[in-house]
Amino acid sequence: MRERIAVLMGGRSLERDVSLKSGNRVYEALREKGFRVTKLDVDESLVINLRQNPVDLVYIALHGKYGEDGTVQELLEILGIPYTGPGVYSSIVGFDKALSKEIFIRKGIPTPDYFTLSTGSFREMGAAGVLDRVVDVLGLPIVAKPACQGSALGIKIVHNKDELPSALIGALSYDDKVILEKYIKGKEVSVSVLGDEKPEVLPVVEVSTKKEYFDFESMYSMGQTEYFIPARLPEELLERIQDIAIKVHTVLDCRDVSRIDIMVSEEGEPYVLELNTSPGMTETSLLPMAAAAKGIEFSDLVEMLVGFALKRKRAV
Amino acid sequence: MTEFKFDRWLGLYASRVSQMRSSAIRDILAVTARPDVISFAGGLPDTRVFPAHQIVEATQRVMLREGPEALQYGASEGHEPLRRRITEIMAEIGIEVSVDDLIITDGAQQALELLGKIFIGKGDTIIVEAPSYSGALQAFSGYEPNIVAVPLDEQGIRIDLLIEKLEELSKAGIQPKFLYTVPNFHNPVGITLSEDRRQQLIGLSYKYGFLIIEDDPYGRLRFDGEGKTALRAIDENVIYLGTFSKIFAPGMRLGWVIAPKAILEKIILAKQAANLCSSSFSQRITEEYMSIFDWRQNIEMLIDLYRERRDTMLSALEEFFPEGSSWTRPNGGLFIWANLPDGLDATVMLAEAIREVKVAYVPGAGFYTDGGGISSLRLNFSYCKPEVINEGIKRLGSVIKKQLSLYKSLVVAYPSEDQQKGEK
Repeated sequence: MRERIAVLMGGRSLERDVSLKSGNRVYEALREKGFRVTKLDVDESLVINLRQNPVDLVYIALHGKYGEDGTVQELLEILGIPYTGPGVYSSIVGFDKALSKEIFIRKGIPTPDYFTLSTGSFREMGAAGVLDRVVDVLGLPIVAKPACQGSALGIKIVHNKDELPSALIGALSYDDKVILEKYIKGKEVSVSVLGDEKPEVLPVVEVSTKKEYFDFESMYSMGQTEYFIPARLPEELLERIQDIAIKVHTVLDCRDVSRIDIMVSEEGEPYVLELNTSPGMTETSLLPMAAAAKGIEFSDLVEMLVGFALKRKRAV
Repeated sequence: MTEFKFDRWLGLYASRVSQMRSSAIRDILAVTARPDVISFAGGLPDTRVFPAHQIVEATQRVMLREGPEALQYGASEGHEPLRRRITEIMAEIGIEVSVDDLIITDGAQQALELLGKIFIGKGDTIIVEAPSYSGALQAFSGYEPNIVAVPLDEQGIRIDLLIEKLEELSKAGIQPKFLYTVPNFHNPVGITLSEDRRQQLIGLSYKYGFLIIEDDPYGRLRFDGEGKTALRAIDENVIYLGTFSKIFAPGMRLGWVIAPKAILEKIILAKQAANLCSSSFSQRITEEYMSIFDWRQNIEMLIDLYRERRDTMLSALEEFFPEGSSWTRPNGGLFIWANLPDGLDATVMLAEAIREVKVAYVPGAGFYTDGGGISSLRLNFSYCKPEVINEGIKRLGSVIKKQLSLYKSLVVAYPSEDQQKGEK
């Protein structure tokens, strides 16, 4: 019999539904591969559950707060249970766009210009007074997005400054920190990286949506978005994008898997928007799509991720 | 370069499928299934009011007496004794019909779907209220109509605006097919169409040649105030939809539709294609329940229960919602409709409400087809116990106040150009 694996899914985050979809798919794939699998919808009994029913490995199919931000990773470290995907540090940094962008800049990774403001800065320090400066420096349009929130929830594009207050309230409804970022017009692409010591990059996926931004609904609704693999870009630019993705993966010390979202400006300059350390595994997710384009079936992809984590376990 | 398709059959679907989509709101509301979330989002009866023991008894009687029939296909029109029972229920609200004037459907929802099927061709014009029951919009949208939405006020649909729209359509040579209304304790708004406007509506339907679909799931759940005349009681050309979901149990999936004979024939044909017949089993048990138990007493109990919950919610709103908010005061039904102070967006606020205080509601935008309802929300008061309602509204009030103060600080320091002009 193969190893016992618990698939963590659901939980309380706003991406609960997406996580259940990812988790159920992963669960089926692991069963198909002969693992002894259980599903765990995460709630306050998670720890006691894992202690009473020991497993060899935890597969993290959680998205969003607590599942992707280092929280569950830290718990699993304490419990000494190996788990799939990046560790605590990469998760903390990857989930917080303010932190990851700061690191991108320090490491010479291109990212759109931005400012970070918090609810506290508005409430305690009158941050509304700096918004005119923000607009002057970044120029319009500006993308307002919550610093810590997946699935493109809470993102708004501000075309004129009148729209700024409601966009800020929107983003701050999802998180206490908001990123105000220069809007890059161009092609949105997504690059997935697998492995750690010698990370392997998957083909670049181009996401082409009828809307001006790849938002939650275009992500999970049928026919709203078109995908091209590889992205419709010149060969050398695709290579540059893949190199940047590997650099992000390495710089943030990611292991096993990460998905890097990049905007390519009309001038052909790539800018890293964000890093996902627990990429979606649903029917319409980008990582499984990129893997499939390289001939890796979904169940093989899942087995590969489990393999990375098991190898780590043996190494200990 | 290849175009990657998640769904390899994408090129094969009918164009109407693009109208059917999952919404971000629905996905976010998945989290409300968690027991620690106070949910004002559903339209659900409290499960504790279902007469489970009585249903056990009714089921036993049915199965011992007519088990084989209950497990067999039945007539497309529905089980005749149940239809007769419905004629009695209808007579109580002034709708005099015979068994042949109505058929049984799978909830009133199926009737909406069937009516869409027989009346709406692609691009045909239909009239709805703004806001309108989202399930009806969903049923009709599948048939790709041109939807004309007419705003409501405290008295129901705005007749003046309706006439305006009807004139516009008439000038353009467009014949609207039907007008869809929930006249009693409207979903989502909770208001009731006034007696005057009921008469006016009927008059307009003749003048402009459209049908009226009267959807009445909540009419029996009146807590106070005077009952209004059913549209179908005024005019026998009105199509009336009823349901057992709110007065008995939604799990039975039973409703009914009353329509003029010619229309009813078409509905029956459409129903045969859809599901041959409604469940023989559910229909017989429901009929048995209606005949051996005092179901009216059960409704009285529901009314007492929901009235208390409505009152609790109204006083909690009074106490905890900030100045600038407003809400409806329904005399029955399941919902209150609240409006946030200017500038706030109920859709984005939902994220904060769930994230910070674990309270859920349905943002108003989902009940509009034209981008309205941004600052409104629908609150269900039937599902939670009074003490939970009070706590939930208190928490929601705190989120609104927090967003409001943030909004004010933003607008004061950073006035929009309109406001700047206003000041000059």
